[in-house]
Amino acid sequence: MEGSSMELAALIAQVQANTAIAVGLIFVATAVGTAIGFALLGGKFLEGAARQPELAGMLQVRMFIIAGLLDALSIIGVAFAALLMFANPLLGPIQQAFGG
Amino acid sequence: MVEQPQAGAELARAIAWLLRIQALLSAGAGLVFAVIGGLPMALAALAGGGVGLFLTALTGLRVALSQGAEAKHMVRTFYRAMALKFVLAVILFVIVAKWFAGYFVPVVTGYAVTLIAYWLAMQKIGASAQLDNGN
Repeated sequence: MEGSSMELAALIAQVQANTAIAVGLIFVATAVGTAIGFALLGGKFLEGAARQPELAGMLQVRMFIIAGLLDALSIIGVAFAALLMFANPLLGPIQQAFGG
Repeated sequence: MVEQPQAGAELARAIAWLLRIQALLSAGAGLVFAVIGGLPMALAALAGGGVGLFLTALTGLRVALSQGAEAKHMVRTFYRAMALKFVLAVILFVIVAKWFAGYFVPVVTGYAVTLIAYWLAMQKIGASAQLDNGN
């Protein structure tokens, strides 16, 4: 019985460790991708506004809409990371297999 | 800077249109999930859509407040609004992940559906730009 619970604890620890790495990778990927995207977007906006200041307002509307698409995947990634961190569905089958 | 009030109105119109379409889309997602899986799934989809709607409204409001300012001020406000959006997205999705742990697919679908509004907005802007060019 003790061996079984040790095995369960080891399996859960393994899943949690791998989940922590996955969550870290998700955050890194979303941060890098969004940072590059926003940097390009902001840079191009400033360039456009410097060339034609009268179009700054119109460019801002387009920047706002593109930013919504740009951070969409990042936020979905963050949502999955939140799920893995706080309600990990990968632990369920292990606990079921051990009758927990 | 004569064009600024017109640009401000354009931004306000764009945000209002986005919010309207997002509300419609998340209501549609809620209906679909209500048919598929009943009330809990519908609520989860509505929660996801609500997160998208709230984040768009908040970011839009903050960006709209910087209208008419210098370009560098606009960019600064924009980056701050986006940072706030990310932080709030993390907090809201943590809360939603705890509440709807068993129904996460409808939550993410509800959120993803609200993003269609941005594609539609881009299409709308492209179409109006073509009209302005006389094509």
